[in-house]
Amino acid sequence: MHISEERITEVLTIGLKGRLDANTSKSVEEFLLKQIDAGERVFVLDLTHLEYISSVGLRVFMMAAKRLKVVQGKIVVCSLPGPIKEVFEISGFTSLFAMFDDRDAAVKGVK
Amino acid sequence: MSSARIVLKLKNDLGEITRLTEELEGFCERNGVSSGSLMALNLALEEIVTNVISYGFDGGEHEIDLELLLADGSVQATVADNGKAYDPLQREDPNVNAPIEERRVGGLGVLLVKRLMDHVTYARTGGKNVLTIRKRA
Repeated sequence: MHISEERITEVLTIGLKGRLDANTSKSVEEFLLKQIDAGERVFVLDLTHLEYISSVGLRVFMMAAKRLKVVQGKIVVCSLPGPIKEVFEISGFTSLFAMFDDRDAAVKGVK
Repeated sequence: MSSARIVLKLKNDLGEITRLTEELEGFCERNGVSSGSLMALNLALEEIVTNVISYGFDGGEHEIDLELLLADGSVQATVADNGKAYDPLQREDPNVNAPIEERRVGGLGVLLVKRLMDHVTYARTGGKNVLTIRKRA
């Protein structure tokens, strides 16, 4: 799993590349929670290169969304590959995370 | 119509999930299974086998049998274990429409298995839990 980050004003965009599974979820969770603890409040998750997600990976997103809700933060997702989108839909994540087609739209839409 | 079959024995060790994934990827690549179906099968098998390893046994070393079968344009996977009798399909689905404050962080695995697969069955036979899943290749 490779994690990239890009900041545009107050929006922190995080790109996840690879597999979000039992082997990699811990590092992504720690990364996201560390950003929230450091005061980051507005997140875009760019999932263009996310190849796989299991329920352990979904937990990470849910945890981040819950933490951000408490501190009035925001988190949205963009560029979901088809199979990942299907998993989001089944899990009811479409009502927890606004979805955008690409990174530019997400950065504009999350503000 | 082509057919193919592999049989694996997994130990009750979570490190085996990596081997399961590699074997499944190889099987799907050799047999032209779509990347979407591969991801769905990978997710379903990771959920099923992780649950068996984590909750199925009271310690000790055990083997979990996995069979992958390609026939009639579908991949069928069967997971058999001699752990405690447990039918995961009876588990109540989480409410995925609840507001975020009320949602549990976990509990989505079995729901995903049921919804992503075309067919899922459970049987307790010969002292074993036998879970069979099927997905169009």
